[in-house]
Parts: sequence; structure tokens; C-alpha cells
Amino acid sequence: MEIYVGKSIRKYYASSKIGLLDRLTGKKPLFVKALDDVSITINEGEVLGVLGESGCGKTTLAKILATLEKPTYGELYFMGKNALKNEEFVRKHVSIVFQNPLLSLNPRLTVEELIYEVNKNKKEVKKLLDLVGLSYDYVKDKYPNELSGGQAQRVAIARALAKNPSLLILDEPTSALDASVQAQILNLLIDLQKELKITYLFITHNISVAKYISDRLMVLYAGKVVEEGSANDIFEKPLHPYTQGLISSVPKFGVKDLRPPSGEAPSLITPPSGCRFHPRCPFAMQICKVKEPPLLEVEGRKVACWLYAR
Amino acid sequence: MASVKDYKTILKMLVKEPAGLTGLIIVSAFLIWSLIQGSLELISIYTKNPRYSYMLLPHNPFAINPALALHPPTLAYLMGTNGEGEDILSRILYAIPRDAFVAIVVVFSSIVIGAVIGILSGYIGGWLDEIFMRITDAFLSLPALILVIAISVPLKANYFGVILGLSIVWWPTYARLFRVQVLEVKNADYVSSAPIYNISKARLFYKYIFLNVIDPILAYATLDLGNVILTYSTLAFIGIGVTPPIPELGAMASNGLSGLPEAWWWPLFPGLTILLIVMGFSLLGDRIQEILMGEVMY
Repeated sequence: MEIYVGKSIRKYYASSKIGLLDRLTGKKPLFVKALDDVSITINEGEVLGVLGESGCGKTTLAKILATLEKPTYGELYFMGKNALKNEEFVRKHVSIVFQNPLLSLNPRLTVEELIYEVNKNKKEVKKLLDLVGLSYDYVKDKYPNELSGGQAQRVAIARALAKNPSLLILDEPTSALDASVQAQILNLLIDLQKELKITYLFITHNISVAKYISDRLMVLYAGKVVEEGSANDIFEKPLHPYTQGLISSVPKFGVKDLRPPSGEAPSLITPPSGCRFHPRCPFAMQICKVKEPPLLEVEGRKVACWLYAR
Repeated sequence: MASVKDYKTILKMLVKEPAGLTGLIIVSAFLIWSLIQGSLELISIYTKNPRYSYMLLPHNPFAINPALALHPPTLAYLMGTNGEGEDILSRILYAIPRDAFVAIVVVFSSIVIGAVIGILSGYIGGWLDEIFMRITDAFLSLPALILVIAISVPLKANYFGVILGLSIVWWPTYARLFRVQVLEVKNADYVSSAPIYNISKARLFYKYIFLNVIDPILAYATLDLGNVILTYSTLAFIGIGVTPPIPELGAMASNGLSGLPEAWWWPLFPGLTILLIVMGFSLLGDRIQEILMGEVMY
């Protein structure tokens, strides 16, 4: 069953403030198109991975789904209800964990206060800290900056779980951590998901992490979905040239052959015409420069590429 | 970066360096003396027994003695006497608590008013921000001293009138400081995600925003206590808010000008006292600011 459905979400930010003088001289405002026509479906109980480079709109998507920002255009349905009109309802059931726990936990509150303010039950606080593998007596009176990065992120996870969410949005939860700690947190998240049967939206730029944790995967490029489907399929046989490039740019043991996509991510103010990936694409054709590819159904998944259009 | 709650670290840092230590000693002496002498003055008012108010002073600061007029500094009268034969040291010591009271009340009220205006302005933004900031600009466009004079003179303000006048004009700097800090903290994940975690507005404004922006403002406030005393003394110097015969540092310096050049001690010592107090707060405030803002490595 679908827990969250977003249709054609667009989010434009004004890139510069338009003052009175600019308006009089007829200057047109410039927009950063952080998300441009992104549709997303999150099924109950799954881990949906969102993969993309920095600046592709991942965090914007997370914030919109968490009701922290409003989309410029688009429709959102949470558990069948219009999410834009029932913000309070969504907020009751959605939690979010951010990249850096030291920025996402109020430095003026102790660990106990941080969780207690979300779930006003002392026994539950203790249970939650046990659940994320922290000793209640050890951490309860500590402030976030007195904890290690991994411990602080565990606190952030406990706090996010404190309200019994149906959907947990994880925005790069392991990117700020050391490799070994990252692995511990990933295992913790997987265990928690099995135990509590929560739906995860897992946002990351790390391909290995996405592969490890996701059931289904969505690849974003410059504010657009380029490929979407079961994580296994995508990693076994990536269809979109960008996904192919991403996967072949992961270093592997004993293999010295990295083939990242050439060039850099495009500007979101003036994105390339047609397919946004065409300036970097090794298979670019004439049509790619002119017309934007639609999301095509190919081999049970969706790909936005003219190579697969018949 | 240190935070005000690590006051032990801050103290340790302060005593390590001569400027900070000097500031700390002057300010502590000033505040401790103000507390003791101030309490005695209050007791003397409530018991209607003036003796309490000068039991710790070398002489009665109100004892007029024409025979002793313009007595130069000696062991008995360390800072000499004024034109009426009153002991200048006793009068200075008697006047100090009033300066401390002005400074603390004005700065505290400015922090409260500035916090309310700055936090609402920064967090809510939009037209509310515009209105609050234009009012703030209007206040800041005139020097505080001129504004207080404009408020106090027509009202024939006494001591408390001057405190009120200073409080009315003193908050805009704090509103600006709060607003800038809030704009920074507002985008932190813990503030932006607060709606999801059902944090009440009161808790958000106090525990999430106020407590996270207050450190640099407290550092500035320390320095600012000296500025208030300086402005208050300037007002007293030109005769605003003074009720003779109650001694007042600025007024003493101004009266003493009539004794120049022979009776140099008459204006000199009250003036030096003001200088010392203001310098103490500047040294301490500067140093605290450095420690809190992380310009000092430790």
C-alpha cells in the first residue's frame, strides 16, 4: 500500500531578491529549479532510496515530504489525505533525521530532555535509548556536543522514533560519520526497520550505502528523476547512462578502473535544454538536446532516456 | 568556542591574561562594593537611620564643614574635600551603587526588549520584520545621549526617570544583535525541524532560539554596562537626574570644575573613578567576547 504519493512536485527558489527598482526596470526574477516535475511513491514498509549528487534536490525533496517546505507546484497525498491541507496530520506521523546530529539536536538540551520533549514518558525515553544501543545512565545528562558523532546520531534516531512515526525520512544520516561508525548506524537502521516495521525514505549520495539499504531506488539528476526501480535491478543492470556512470565510479577492491561521468552537474538556474544530462552523456543524440525524455517503462522500471524510446 | 554555561573555563581564561584579569578585578570590586554599600543605603532608608549608610565609609559624605573646605589629599582625607568640606572619597564610595544599579537595570531591560523584538523580527520576518526594524532604525539614527536628554529634560526626570529614559533608548542595538543571531540559528536543522517534533512556540523561542543566541549578546552586554555608566555620568555632569545633596560621580566632576586649577583633586578623583569603572567593563567585555567567539585558542 502506498503511504506517500507526490505528483509532479516542483520547487523553485528565487535566486536573488527582486526589489522595487528591479521590478520597475522590468528585470525578470531568476529561479533555481531545485525540483522539476518529480513524482514519488513510497510504499508502506519499504526502504526507498533516493540517490543523487549534491545539489540534485534530494534535501529539498526530504523537506517537502516532511512539510518543512511547501512545493511551488505539485500534489502530495499522505495515507490518502491531501498532505498540503493536512499538515498537522502528516507531522504526527513523519520524522526526519539529518546529516549532522550536532546541527539537528538543540545544543542546549540534554539527551534526556531532547527525547522527553517528543515523548513525555520517562520509561519510553529509557526504552528508546536502549533501542538505539545507548546506555540511559551514561547519556541522559550529557549535551549533544559531549557525545561522539555516532552516539549523537543514535540520539537523533531515538528522538525521531520517539513519536512512533509511520515514515522516517533519513537525509544523509551516515554521511558525516567515519566508515566504521557509518556501518554500525546502517545496521542499526536496518534492524530498527525490521523490528518496528517503519517505512524509510533514505536519501544519500553514497552509492554503496544506497545499495546496502534500499529495496527500491530513485536516482535524481539536476532536479529530475532519471531512473526508478528495484534496487537489485538497477545495480545489476543500470539503464540510464548517468546511473551507469555513477555505479562505475565506485572504487572496488583490487580493480583500478573508475569511469565516472565526465563534466560537472549543471546549473539549476539555466539547466541544459532537452535532457539535462546530455552535455555529459556519452550516448547523446540529436533529440536529447532538443526534447526532454519522458519517464519510460522499461523492463519493469522507469527510465528517462531517449535510448529506450521506441 | 566556549559557551556561557562553561563559566569555569571562561574564568580560567580570564585570569590567564593581564587585561582580562584587570577587568575582572575592577568589575568584581565595583559590583561587590555596590552590593554591600547599596544594601546599607537601602537599610538606612527603611530604618530611617542615616548612620547605616556611611558606617563603612571613612567620613560622613554629607557632613558639611566649612573649616575643612578644599582640604588637599592627606591620610585622613585620601582624596581631599570639596568646596563644602565634604570628604570626596566617602562621596565617591557612596555614589557607586547607584551607577551599578543604573547599568544593570538598563542593560537587563534592553536585553529583554531586544530579545522580544529581535527574535520575533528574525524568526517571523516579513512585514513584522520591516516594521520592527524601521522603528529600531529610527531610534538608532539619533545618539542615545541626545534622545535621553530629549526625554528627560521636559519631564524633569529624577534618578528613576533617567533610568526609564535610558531603558527606552537603549534596546535598539540589542534588537539588532538578536535579529542577526536569530537569522543564523533559524536555518539550523534543530530549529527548522521543530514543527515536526511538536515543539511549542514558547519553548521554541526560549530553549531553541534565545538560549542559542544569547552568548555573544551577553559578551556585548558586559562591555555595554560601562557604556551605560558613561552615559549616565554624562547626564549627571550636565545636571540631569541629580538630586542634591545625594552624591553622583558625573555631578561631582562637574561641580569640581569650579575648584580648578588649585583644588585639582575635586574634579579629578570622581572623573578617574568613572574612567576606571568604564575601563574595567571594557577590558572584561572585550576579553569575554574573544573567548566566546572563539578568537582565542585554548
